[in-house]
Amino acid sequence: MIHFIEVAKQYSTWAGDRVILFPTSLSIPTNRGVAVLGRNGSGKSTLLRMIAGVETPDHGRIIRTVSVSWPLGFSGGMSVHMTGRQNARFIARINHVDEDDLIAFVEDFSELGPYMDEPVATYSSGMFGRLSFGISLGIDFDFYLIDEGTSTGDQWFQEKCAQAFAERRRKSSGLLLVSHNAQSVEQYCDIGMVLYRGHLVPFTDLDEAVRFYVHG
Amino acid sequence: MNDIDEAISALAAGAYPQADGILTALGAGKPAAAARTRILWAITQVLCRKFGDGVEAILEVADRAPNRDESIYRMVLSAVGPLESLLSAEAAQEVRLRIGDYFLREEKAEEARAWLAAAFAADREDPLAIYLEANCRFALYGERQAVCDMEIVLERAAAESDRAYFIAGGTAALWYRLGIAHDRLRNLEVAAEYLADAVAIDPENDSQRLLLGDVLIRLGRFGAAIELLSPIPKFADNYRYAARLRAVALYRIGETEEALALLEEVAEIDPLGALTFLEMGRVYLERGDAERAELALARAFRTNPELPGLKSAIGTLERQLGRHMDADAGLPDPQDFAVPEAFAPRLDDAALLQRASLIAGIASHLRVLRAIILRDMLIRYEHSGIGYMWALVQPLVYIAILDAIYNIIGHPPVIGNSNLQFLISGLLPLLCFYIRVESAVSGSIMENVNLLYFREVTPLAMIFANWLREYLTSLVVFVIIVGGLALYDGSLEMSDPLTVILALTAMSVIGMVIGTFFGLGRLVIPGLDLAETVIFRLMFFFSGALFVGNMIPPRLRYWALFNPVFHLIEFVRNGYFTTYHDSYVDWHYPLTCIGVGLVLMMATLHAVRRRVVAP
Repeated sequence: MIHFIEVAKQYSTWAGDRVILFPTSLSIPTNRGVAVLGRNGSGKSTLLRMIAGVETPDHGRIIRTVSVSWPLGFSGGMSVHMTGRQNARFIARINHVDEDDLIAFVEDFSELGPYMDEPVATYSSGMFGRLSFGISLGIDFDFYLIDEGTSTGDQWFQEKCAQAFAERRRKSSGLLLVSHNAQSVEQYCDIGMVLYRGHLVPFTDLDEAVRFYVHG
Repeated sequence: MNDIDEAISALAAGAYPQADGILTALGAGKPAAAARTRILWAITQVLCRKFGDGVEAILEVADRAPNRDESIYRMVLSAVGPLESLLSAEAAQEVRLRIGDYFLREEKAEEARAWLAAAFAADREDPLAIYLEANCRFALYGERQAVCDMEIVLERAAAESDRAYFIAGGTAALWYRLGIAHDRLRNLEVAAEYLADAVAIDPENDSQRLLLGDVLIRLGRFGAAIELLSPIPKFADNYRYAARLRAVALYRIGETEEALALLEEVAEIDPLGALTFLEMGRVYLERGDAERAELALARAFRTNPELPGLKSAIGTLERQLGRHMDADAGLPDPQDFAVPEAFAPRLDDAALLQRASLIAGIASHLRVLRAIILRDMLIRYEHSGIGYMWALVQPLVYIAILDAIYNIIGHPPVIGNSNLQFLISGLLPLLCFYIRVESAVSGSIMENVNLLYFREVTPLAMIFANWLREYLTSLVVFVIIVGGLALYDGSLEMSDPLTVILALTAMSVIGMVIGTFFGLGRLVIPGLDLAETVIFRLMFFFSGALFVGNMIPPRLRYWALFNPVFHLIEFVRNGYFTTYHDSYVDWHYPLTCIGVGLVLMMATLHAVRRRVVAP
């Protein structure tokens, strides 16, 4: 479970304060596929980053009772001056998993071949995503956070990820997905939340959430 | 003769089912098979008209190939050699055409190019090879000449189309592709003719029908478009597209109500189809119904903000409204919703009541520290030991230069037996334990801010790890240089090593605190580097690295004593030389500075925690 206890967040911009989330208390089930729907600029990514612990709420607390991945996507997180292998080693060390096992998994999953030993700065965004997803899938998280807002991964890799996540779902891992892509939302998720006007409105049925989000 | 050779001779003889049997018995149908066997099997499948299996196997082998930049054609050739050496000329040509055509249809013209260029080179009179190679050129470069080349051989290629097309499209695909090409070249009339031919040959193919409908609408032949699109039934996958196009045509001939009803119907079937809402918005905009247009365009924006044409429609709407569009238009007040049971706050969750184990917490922090230190060492000292040598060489160079200057001007030793000892007891600690630590910590915050992407890594861990790494490095450098000098002239006295170590450690902690402030400051204030340099110079000048307390006038000493580093350097000397004792300095002042500094540092880190986040 991920517990939101009176969590609030806003941004101060030159145009004034913008509320991402009014004080919200709810518990997100972590054994489900959860979609977060919201228009551009509604603060979906910020919400995801708060759940991941990259950003701190202004008020309230987010408590994770299971292991939660970092926000997966096609940007962020990796040190661009280090090679794919070195990044994997670093992440293995902070997450207390066997370095060589993780690297073996990443090599097999992301199929970067010789690029594993090239600096991440030379990667295309697709390769970056492959590395990031590969490393996180190699560490058995209970709950994966995926930001597909900037996703451009190729078809082949998306299918591979879909398979890997489907397998995780069978092992009762969950995921939370932020996406515009209706197809991937339907593929990965079964419940949904709509974020708008600073409120997070949860639905126990994904179709209901999608319909609400579009039609009101 | 082994099994593989047997299969190869069966292939050469044109006995494809036999070759298939042998290869399948060898396990070539499974992904685990060796690349060469697998490709041979794939080619056999293509020739046995089991095209899907063949292509899938080739793509799978290409995916696991070590060099993924290489084209699939090259990969196949390097696995099995030239196709002609394996198959009869006709069979080789058929394989090339089919696979090339497959990539063309999959919109992978780059991959198709090698196959089709080879097919064209093998037989320059083959109408299918000419047609497909030209089609590929058009897909890649948009050449007008390529379209002419396709047109010239169209009829002849159609006569032989079963050599390449057999998954979908059939002969109609030849006309369809010319239609697509002319549509891209904006020759709408010609495109419509080719597409009409394609629809006539294969009336069941909805893609052809849809494109023709679209072209007809752009040509202004709305009636024809409606007639053409009506036969696509409701249960067809493409119904939503056909209905949308029909709605646009209906609207153009003035059947606005019918058009809107059709669009509403499509929106029900396909709630995330942004284009439907855009069309709806356009209809309402032209009717002057800004309120409904806003509802529709807001929906389009919510489903796909990057939809082409949406921006300009929103612009028109905002001019009509005289305000910004409300992108949440149509959504009810979120406060009216009760949280469903599945999401109800569960503060009785047993996991919430568990207290975090202190030991596990400490172990986790230590792991993170180790990981950051190892990572930074890798970045800084990546190329063998050169980076590490620099940590030793840099202070040695400074000391050597100053020592040379002292010798040239005939400066007598300030304390101890030589200038070298004076420099090693003052300048060296300052360079290693203060300046080095300060700049490493201050730089690390900006450099490593993306590590904060991982929840386990905190700014404090980053700072502490950098301090620890530089502190330990400096200790090693200090011991090497002091030890080296002792071996060189046998002059080491070191009356009180404990005082020296304590003073060096304290100095590095001051470096860490100051480095943290500047590192954080630089994230917020871009021009802070200059201030850092000025304060640095002042601290350096008043540090006592190049003079001792007894040497300077009392007024200057009064100011120097405000610098905690001055106190600490004097303590290093007190501990280093048996003969030197400076009574001006005391431990209270630098230790108080460190205490206050650490408290301020922690408070600042807490205060700026919302600004120091991974990008």
